[in-house]
Amino acid sequence: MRKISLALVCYFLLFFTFCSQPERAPEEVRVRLATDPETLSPVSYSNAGALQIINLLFQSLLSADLATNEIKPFLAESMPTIERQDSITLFTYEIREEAEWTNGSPVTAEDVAFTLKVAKAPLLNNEGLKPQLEFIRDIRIDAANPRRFTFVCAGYAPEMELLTGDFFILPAYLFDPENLLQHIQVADLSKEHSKLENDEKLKAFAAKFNSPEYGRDPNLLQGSGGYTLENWENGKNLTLTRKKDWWGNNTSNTQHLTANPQRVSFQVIPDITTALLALKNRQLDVLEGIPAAEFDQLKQQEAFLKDYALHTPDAYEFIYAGINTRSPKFSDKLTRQAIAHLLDAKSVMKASHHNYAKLTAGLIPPSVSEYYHKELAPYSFNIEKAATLLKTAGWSREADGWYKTIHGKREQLSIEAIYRAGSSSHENAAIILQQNAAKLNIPVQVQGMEGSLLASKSKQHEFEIFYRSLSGNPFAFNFKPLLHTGYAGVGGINYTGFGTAESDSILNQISTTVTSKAEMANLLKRLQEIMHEEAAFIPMYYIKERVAIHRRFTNTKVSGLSPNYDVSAFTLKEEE
Amino acid sequence: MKQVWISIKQLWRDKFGFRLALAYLMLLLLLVIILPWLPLPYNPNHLDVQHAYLAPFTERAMAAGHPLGTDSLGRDLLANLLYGARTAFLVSFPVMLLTTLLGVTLGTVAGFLGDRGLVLPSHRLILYLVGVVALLYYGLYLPFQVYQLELSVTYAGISSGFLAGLLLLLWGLLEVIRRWFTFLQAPFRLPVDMIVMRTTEAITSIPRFVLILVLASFIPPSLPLLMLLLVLSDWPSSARLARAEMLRIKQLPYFEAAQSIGNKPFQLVWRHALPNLAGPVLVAFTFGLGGLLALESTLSFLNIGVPSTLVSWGRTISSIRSNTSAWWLVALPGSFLSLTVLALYTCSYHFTQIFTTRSR
Repeated sequence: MRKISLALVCYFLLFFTFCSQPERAPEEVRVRLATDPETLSPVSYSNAGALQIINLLFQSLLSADLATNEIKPFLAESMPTIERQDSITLFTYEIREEAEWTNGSPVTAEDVAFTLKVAKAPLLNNEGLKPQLEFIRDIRIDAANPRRFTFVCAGYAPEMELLTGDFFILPAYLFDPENLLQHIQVADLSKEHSKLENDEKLKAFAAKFNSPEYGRDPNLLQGSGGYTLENWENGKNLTLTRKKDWWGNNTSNTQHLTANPQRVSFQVIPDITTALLALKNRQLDVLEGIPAAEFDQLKQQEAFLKDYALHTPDAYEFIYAGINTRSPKFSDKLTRQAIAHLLDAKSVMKASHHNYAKLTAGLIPPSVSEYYHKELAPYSFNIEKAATLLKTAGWSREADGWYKTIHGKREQLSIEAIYRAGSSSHENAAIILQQNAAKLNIPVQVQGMEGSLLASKSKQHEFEIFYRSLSGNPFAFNFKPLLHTGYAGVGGINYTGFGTAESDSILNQISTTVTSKAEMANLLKRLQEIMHEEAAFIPMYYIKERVAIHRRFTNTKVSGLSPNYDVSAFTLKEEE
Repeated sequence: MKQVWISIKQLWRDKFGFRLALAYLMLLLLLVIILPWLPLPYNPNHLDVQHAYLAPFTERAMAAGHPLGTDSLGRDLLANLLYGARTAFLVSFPVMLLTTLLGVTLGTVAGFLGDRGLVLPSHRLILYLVGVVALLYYGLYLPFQVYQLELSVTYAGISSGFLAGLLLLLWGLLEVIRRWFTFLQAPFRLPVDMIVMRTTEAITSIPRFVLILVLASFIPPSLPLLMLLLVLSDWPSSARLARAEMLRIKQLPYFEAAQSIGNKPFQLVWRHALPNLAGPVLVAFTFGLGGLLALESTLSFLNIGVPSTLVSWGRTISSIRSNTSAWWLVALPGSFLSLTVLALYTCSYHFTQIFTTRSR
């Protein structure tokens, strides 16, 4: 009996050794992934987590350096030269001489041409990338220099410079070893597609390219980036390993090209509470999107702060309220201004983000001081002012609410505020509006709804007020699709119907003729003034990200740009 | 029914657990009823953003008038606990009542009539089938549309008049043509049992959560809609129980005797079967009530299918997700929820014990 007990104890000891955490290399960085990527295809990825991983495997010509929040050349030797000719614009690039694929062959203009074909060809899963590159009509490869090429683009817009370089370059030798796309010209893809849809070689390539292997197979997912995919366990983790003698480490004057950690391990943890627990147990090195209240708690824990550094970079994401100007009740800007005075962005910010946010009067981030309109004051919570504005707008206060005769019909001022169910900050904003409006006897119906229903209602203009978030970057300020009346029809993304002749003219100028920063600043400031006065699209506040990073790493490049840090730059601190 | 009342009184006398559970439930019910007259300092949806996440009985909480603390928006926990209890009862009680009513009616009819018990002339069956479809369209759908589009009540009146006219016309037409087509007078045995059982199988094969999720994706969430959905998806269990009990009662000697002396079907069911069914139905009712309480809290926690302004224990518990150190947001409503469900299950357990003994 004693022998059996001893054997049992030994067995359990052996069993529990398998339950312990596996040993990990000191240079390994553990990052949380909120959702398992559906695919890692550089052409058809679908979420931010996938983009972060693909950024470590593949490279684009230009990309953002999170250390400086500037666009810098990555695969390209330098920023492109731009030449405008009548209705077209030419962007000329040269690929770095050292740039090479995993097999040691150089990255050439032919690879860029191949990538363009994949992005623009019919039959392929490229719906995400195709519209983004629609303006690139052709590519001209320099006969004397296989690394030099010119994009021929239709028209001109300031953001084109970034867009011509902001897509992952694919290795033609690996993705199309049979040269199935070689006979197709990029220029042909800008024309009618019907002929190409019957092309046998293209069909054969599409059958292969659209298969799941092109988004999962470690042998195919090999770009010019510093890492290769080592292991991917669905719903558990995904590991990348640094390439030996990666070309980016041998180039001079390219501090932004990095592949420092030996391994990067992405842990799939959908629930933020579980992720926080993993962080507190030192099982994660990086965690972003920490809830504000939890972040405040972490700031108080000395033991935690000994191991982790907490960061709050200014993100480029803002919360805004949209009022449907097409609704007869809200067609008068004074009524909309009155509602803006009831939104109480300050309280929403406090309740949802514990002040890890910045109030804004316009849709330009306050951190971009050159374009942000500092003299404009954000709408503050003011009941008296709201009541005065409503009276001026023709509403009369009665015992049970506010009434006005619109188009011969007596209407009561009531509001239906909608938002995406599950978004606590939007829900808080709607509930705070409800309470504030109740003080003026304005009934507000608050309704959270499923994301696709909200999107459909917004597109069909079947809403009164909605709350949404928008994220952007500090590189392009072309808001034409969002605010121009040309996009205010059913299906367009100018959901609120905002727009005046002057704002349309400003948006047209910004997207076509602006050349200097000073001119851009003037136009953007005037646009913010018009938006503030019209009060249809009301930005409330820009959020600050909340990130925790283990202190054993330095050079973390914490930034407001997603994903808020550059894991490839992480460097182990030297032992003191 | 008298027997059921006697059984409850006996349980109250003999079983301490039952007494405790019932006393707790009665107290909670009383609180819910007198809630509007209680001098609560805040209403449950009052926001006090300056005092968010106050821990209970702390100096700040007491000074701000929130003795049990607050949630992420500074809503008073005490008010939310009490009003949450009201919502829990307001949702689960009517839903369970309607569910039981519908389930017991259909189950009893299915058990009593079986597949061969209901014989109708074919022309009458046609009239009923067309009548049901017409009733649903002209009697329910069109008046509902009139209400939704805020049209004049006259339109609803026209719709109802048209329905009555249509049914009269159909009845007259069938009465005339059945004389020419004799097959319309042939008796038709309606397989009631099969229809009810296949319907229960079809409904139970759809997971309720999936149904609620799908509906929430295109219909705005509302309490009446949720309650309707719960009734329509929950009646099969009561129907199955009632059918099984009815089949058992049908075989009992007293029931056969009642049949043999010429009691009409309605009398047989109402006077002789239903009183015998009351015990098991009461067990299922209390058990189902507990399940519905938990379901309502789960849906509020997930914010699926219920309006976000609905005061609920589940909603309060969900606030913990943005601040895991706010233990009071789980501990207090969670305890209330657990205790209430436990009390209901305890009652159900004792009812089962006593009715099983009696049916032996």
